Amino acid sequence: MATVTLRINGQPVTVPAGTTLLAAAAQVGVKIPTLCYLKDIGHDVGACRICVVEVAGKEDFVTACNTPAEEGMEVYTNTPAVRASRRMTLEMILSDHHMDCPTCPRNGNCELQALAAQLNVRTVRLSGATRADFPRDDSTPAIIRDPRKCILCQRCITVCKNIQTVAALELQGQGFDALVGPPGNRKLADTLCVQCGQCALVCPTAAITERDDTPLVWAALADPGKHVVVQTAPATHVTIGEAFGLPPGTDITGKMVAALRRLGFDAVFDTNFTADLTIMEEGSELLKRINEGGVLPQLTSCSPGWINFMEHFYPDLLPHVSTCKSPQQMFGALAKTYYAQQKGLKPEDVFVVSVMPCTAKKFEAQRPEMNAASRYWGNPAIGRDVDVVLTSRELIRMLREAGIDFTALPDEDYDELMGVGTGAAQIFGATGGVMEAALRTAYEIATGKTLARIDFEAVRGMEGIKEATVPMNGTKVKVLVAHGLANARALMDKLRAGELKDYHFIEVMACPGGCIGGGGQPIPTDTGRRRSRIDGCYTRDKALKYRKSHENPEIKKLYQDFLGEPLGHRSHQLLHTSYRPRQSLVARD
Amino acid sequence: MVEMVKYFLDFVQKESCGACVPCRVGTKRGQELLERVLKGEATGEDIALLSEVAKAVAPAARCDLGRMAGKALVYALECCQNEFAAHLAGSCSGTVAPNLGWQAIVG
Repeated sequence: MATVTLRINGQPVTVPAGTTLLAAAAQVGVKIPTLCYLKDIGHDVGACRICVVEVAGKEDFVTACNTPAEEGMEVYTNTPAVRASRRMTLEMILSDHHMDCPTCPRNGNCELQALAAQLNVRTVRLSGATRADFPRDDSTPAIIRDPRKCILCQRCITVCKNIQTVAALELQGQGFDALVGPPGNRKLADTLCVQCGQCALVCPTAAITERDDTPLVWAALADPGKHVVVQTAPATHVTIGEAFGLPPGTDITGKMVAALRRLGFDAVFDTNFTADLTIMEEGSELLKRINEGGVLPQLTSCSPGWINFMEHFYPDLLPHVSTCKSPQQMFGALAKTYYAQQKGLKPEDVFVVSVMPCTAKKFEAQRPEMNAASRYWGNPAIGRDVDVVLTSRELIRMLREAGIDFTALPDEDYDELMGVGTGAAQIFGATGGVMEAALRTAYEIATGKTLARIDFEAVRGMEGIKEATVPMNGTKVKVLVAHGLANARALMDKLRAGELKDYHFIEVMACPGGCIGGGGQPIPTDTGRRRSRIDGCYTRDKALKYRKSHENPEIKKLYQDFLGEPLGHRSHQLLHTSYRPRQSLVARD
Repeated sequence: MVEMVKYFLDFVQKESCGACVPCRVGTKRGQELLERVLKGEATGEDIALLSEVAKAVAPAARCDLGRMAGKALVYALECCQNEFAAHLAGSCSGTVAPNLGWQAIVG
């Protein structure tokens, strides 16, 4: 490998050709400050100019984040001129920033705040026009845009365009009036945005955040007339602890249950339970499609960002999508039917809260057709199947506000009836997990044999597109797994072109890494954390008593007492749904 | 000269792509400070701050548009100190006759 040798502040360093000055400096213990740079998503546009450095022989500065090291370079990272420019640039940003730090959603977890502290900037001498006139965009159920806090780093543009191939945001306007937002000054709700929230994860400030629905939950908890139940998604079991100083991937399930009880929920349930149910329904659907010549390959349907993506971009392929609702929506429908019935509660009194790693789940819960319980009972007063969706970040805020000393809590168990989840359900949180869980169950149902090895390593990990073949009753079942919508798009283009005819089942998760990397997860969420959280899912899977969905005793009871059988009449009433093209949105300027 | 460099900043603000901070915000703050100078409201501190802004923008903007704006300001402040001083004192002894063509360009 070709190397180059250069000097950073006089220190010689040898690095592979193509290494950035930023990375070269890090090797000699020099941490050049950055703001807009985000290696994780390949974002190095050099917009903020915070990482400028001086290179001997060049009149102007260069940005360390995107300038490759050259042989013999003499780089200076802290000359008076560089420091003055860097500090003044930061003052410029701050003079144009809506600084209401104490009441800002990102207070205490803001990269701009952190940089001001790092550079010891204590005053902003510049003043003048501000971005105050840019309106807040709260047109969508999940994602709120506040351009007053935007520093135009363009990370959201990169993640939306390159990682998700949605391109709902762009840089527009000239000079001081430049703005990052939907093309043509549209509201976000009128764009192709799929609500995945990856933009909120990479936003350094609070220019893009999740809608805060915590007041609705506090109000429900305080209402004696409501029976408030909560469900926790698999991916939250290994992430919530990060906010309380625990390493990423730590299994905090028992503590989360205890914490939710202390917040005052009347029953604490597990979305893992309905993840197992999803496997029963979706696995049966897959076998039915294979045996009866249905539309193949079948596509998973648990990721609401992915469903939005299909409805927006590939409506012609919707027949491939499983009719199964997501575990969240299955839970809501059952909470207000099965659970209410078993407990002798009025369904209209049951209030369902979800804790999800996901912003798009807020959108999903508000879809008009997600009122199965209301239709089941013929009672409009029942309303939504899922009343409020909290992201991981919102729950963390509630726990903090309630003064719950999370790490000091004992481990507690979920309530009965909808509280048992298997290891198969736990791995729903990781890319490939739904596929692996489905294979564990579909194989045993189809063949009547017990799997010798239930770990399907081929579908695990951060590879963009993964593939496996599993022999079942003489059929070689071929499966694919994709995460991140750019990978999904690559597969859908092939499917559209007729190239994936011999595949049976494709799992897609909108977010990189799967739900553990969801748009509602703790910030930061980067590749390293995604890997640790994925490991956490498989560790918990191994530790659980049941590791196959069809072995879940509460699922057996549910079918016995209420549903009958997978794909039965009640399942179709409550657990299955349909999709529709939403191409009206695809109109471009 | 103060007016000339102000027109130049107006032009840059109109053309700036908005991507980098020194050009997007720096030239705007430069404009605002120069306006104070032209209105006779500026202080010595304003001029010092303007100079700092100029020196920060000149080597750091992402492309030559912003860099030129910064440099024009730096040179104006260096070579026409007396004009800035005159504005501070409440008069305008422009050494360069204001050319209204500039205004036409930047509208």
